[in-house]
Amino acid sequence: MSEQKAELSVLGGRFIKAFHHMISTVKIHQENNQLIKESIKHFAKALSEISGGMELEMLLWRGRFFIQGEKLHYRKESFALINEMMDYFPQRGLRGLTFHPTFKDGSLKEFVIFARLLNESAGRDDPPNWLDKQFKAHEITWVEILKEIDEDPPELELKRKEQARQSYVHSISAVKEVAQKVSQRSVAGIRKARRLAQTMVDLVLDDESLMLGLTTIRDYDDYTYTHSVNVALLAMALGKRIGLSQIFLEQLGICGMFHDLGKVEVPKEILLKPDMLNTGEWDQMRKHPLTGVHRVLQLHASREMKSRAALGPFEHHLNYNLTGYPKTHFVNKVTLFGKILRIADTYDALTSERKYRPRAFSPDEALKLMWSKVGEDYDPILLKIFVNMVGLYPVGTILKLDTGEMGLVVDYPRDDERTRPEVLLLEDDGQGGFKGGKTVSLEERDEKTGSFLRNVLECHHPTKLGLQPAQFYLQEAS
Amino acid sequence: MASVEEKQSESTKSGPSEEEWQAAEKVLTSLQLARKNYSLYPENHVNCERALEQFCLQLDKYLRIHGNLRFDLAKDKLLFQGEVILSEPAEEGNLPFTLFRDGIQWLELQKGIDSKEVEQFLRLLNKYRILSDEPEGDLVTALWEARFPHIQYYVADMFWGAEPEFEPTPSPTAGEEDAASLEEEKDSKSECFPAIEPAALKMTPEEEAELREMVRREEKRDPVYEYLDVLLDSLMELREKENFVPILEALEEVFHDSLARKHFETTLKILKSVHYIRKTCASESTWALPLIDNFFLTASSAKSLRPLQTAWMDMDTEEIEHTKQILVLLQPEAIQTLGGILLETSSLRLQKMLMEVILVLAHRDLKPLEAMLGRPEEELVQKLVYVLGRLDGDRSTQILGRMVRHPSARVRHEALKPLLTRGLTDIKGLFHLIEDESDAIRRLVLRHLGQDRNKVTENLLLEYLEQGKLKRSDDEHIIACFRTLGRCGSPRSIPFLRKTLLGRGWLPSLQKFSYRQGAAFALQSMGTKEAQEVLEEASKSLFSGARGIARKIIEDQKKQRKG
Repeated sequence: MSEQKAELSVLGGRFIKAFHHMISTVKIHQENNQLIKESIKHFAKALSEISGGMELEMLLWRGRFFIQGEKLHYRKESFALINEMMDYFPQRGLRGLTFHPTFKDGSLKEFVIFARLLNESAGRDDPPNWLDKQFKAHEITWVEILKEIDEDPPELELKRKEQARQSYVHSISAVKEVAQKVSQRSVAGIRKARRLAQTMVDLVLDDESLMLGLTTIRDYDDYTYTHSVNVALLAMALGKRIGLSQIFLEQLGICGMFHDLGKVEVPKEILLKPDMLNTGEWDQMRKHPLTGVHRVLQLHASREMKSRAALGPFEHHLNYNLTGYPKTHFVNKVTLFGKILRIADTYDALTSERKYRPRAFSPDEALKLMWSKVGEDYDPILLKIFVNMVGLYPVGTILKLDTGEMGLVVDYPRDDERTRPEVLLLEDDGQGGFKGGKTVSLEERDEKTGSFLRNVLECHHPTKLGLQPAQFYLQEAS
Repeated sequence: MASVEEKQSESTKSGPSEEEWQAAEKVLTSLQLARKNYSLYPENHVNCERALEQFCLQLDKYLRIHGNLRFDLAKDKLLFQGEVILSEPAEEGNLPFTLFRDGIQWLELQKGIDSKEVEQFLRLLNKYRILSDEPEGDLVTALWEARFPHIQYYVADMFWGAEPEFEPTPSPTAGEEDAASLEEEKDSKSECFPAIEPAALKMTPEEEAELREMVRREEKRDPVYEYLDVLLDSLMELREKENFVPILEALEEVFHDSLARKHFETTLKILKSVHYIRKTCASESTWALPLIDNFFLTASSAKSLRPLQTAWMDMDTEEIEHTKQILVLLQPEAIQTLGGILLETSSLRLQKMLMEVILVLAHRDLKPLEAMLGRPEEELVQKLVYVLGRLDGDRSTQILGRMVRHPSARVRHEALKPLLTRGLTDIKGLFHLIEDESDAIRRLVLRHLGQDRNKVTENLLLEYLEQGKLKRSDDEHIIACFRTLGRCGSPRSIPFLRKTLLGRGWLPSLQKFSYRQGAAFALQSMGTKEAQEVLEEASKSLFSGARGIARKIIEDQKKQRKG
């Protein structure tokens, strides 16, 4: 998470908590009560902090709060409270609130009225309109109601999704272009790839979930290129998790994008062979890390960039314990980049449909398989972080729930809870396919019994249902 | 990257005041001047420094009075608050085009900017004035990396214009099932739950610390070490010529860089490893041998070793030792460069090390050393001859023999010393040196000739003295030659010595005394009974010249015997 977003997350959490406290306190106490005064003072302070004296837009969309267009990440301790607030808004038909900078001039009395009206509006016929009228009647002008609950995502979110989609598509074409140039033995510059890697770094820092969602894109025909970009994204996201700087994330992205460059020398018949490879073919296949190094050397890039980029091809099939291939004589340990790429490459490869195996592994199966080789093939610390990053049911997994519903994992709202994701419920589109329904959190509990509303029964690979999960994340953008 | 696109609209307010406009113009003019100077001169040139100072001054003045300074961009113009402030053709090198070309839509210089930030910005503007074909980066990439705190910009994604078609193809078997069939499908679902025990995913404090260390190391490390290992392993495993060459070239690059940066361990590792790889190629991949040899040849070239010339200045003992280990792994062709360095260094330690290296390399092939002996620098040639003198073999003896005719006395002397110790010396060939202009050489030759009784030497000296072939006529030289004859001669020389000491007629008039004295000393040196009899005879001679010399010697002999 970028510094700015981390700050927003803290301030946002504080603001919602103050909001919640204020509306709860006015329910119980009289206007002149000291607790009310304090709760309003506290709310005004939190509002002032998060708005920075400017206009503040607070929006609820698809079960998530957005402050100034940025998705709010929650902390474990505030999750219950935020859940309550997520019920509070829809109960009143509210999409959100806009606080104008003039709130600074609002009196204590106005704030009390504001909070009371919000509470009261739940029992009214048309709460938003009723609230509008009441605010006017009480001359409260510093707050505005955002009424309709429509499907339009916040503008920033839309822009980011569009940018993410575009970057993804262009990255594929950049990788393709470079691969074609190197296969023709011509000089290939990496300006475009770098610019795209930089954009992806910014996006990964801003919205990791969105970028992880993109990695569920699968292109059966152009596997190598989508795979390369997916590996870059997964690697950058893991790099971000472990605290690599932006410059290193860019380099890691470049490594990912070009890690399979050596495959330009492997004949298509071998790459696409549906059966097991024979010894000769396998030997050729095993050469691609080395030919990849050779191809990276052909890139028009500085020595420093090449010295990083060469690690991608060379190390991505090299195991943590130095088994795997290519055979090493001089290399005596796998680099951090190599370890990251090994994990990202395996995960994306396992979860992709390939001709030589009957089906792709579902994301959770892939993780399980990888986990069985932790400490041998994969660095234990990095794999732990990777699993924590993608979650036990990674984004893109199809879940069958005990309610009979089918859901697509789209996000984990909390960084510290990776077993109960947010899922997009899938509905029959009437044409034999699926369409996205509402987004629910598997952390939601029954108010009376306290038990979870939905539990996972089974996990499936999205391609079994003919789904490209990324389409669901990006549908608003395109 | 400043991604707040909305900011763009802020720049179009009611229009600038005349004062503000003029101030912005001044900033721009000074920026243009600074760019020009940066493109013409090195950064530390006084013109660049002045231009930078002027730009900073104008910018600071603007920012203090008017706040942040924003320019919007078109391919051929810069706009300030919506009006064109600079117009230049859309050509490489021009400011608007340089910025616009890479997708920058607006650029803002903000309050708080300091001269370091400005200087770095100018450097980048200059570096990316013109983009090569297939470039590695551009101005936006550089700005992204630099993360200037007070220079904000907005970039339109320049690649978006021509969006490629992208419609991912699902697998041929995808979507064959619906939700109902998933009920029965056992193959496509994974066992739940959870696949990994969540508790196993908790990071321990030790792991947290290890991770922090891992990241710290990664960000601090020089990637060249791993890169080098990758290149070497690739070379070991890739046994196709077309793949081999570029990897060797990349290794060459690392080699040069490591030398320049005084990373001698890396340099040494490269050379040792490539030697090792050469050995492994010897049986199966013989085609690789000339390629590897060529690698060593390039590594040994003057261009390649040039960085050493500056690196010498402050090397410590350990570095000198490392350097020695590196240099001895090079090809003998390196001698030419090392010779140059040898000449330039005043450190005796380094000179010694270099000469040891040259010795090792010349052992492998003498030709490069031999070629260097024709150099005009006397000091260098002398040192190289010293090295040559430590090389055994006929070829080195031959070259040394040639070098004793070198115009420089120091060189001749250096060449003579080893020759005289080799035992196989062609005395006739060196005899001319008894008349060398250098005292030291003459002394050395005569000392050598007088080392033992030798018929050849005796004949040469007899002939030289008897036939009056001396080109040197100083007394000291004549006496030294007689003394040498006394040490190397036999009774065969006594008649000549007797004649010289006692005879009157044949001697050159000016050197009569020194001839007689020399003959007397020679007889004394011979120490034989026969020689002594001649001396006794001379002491009783009527001829006073001979008598005086002989008596003096006999008296000295007596004193010596008593003492």
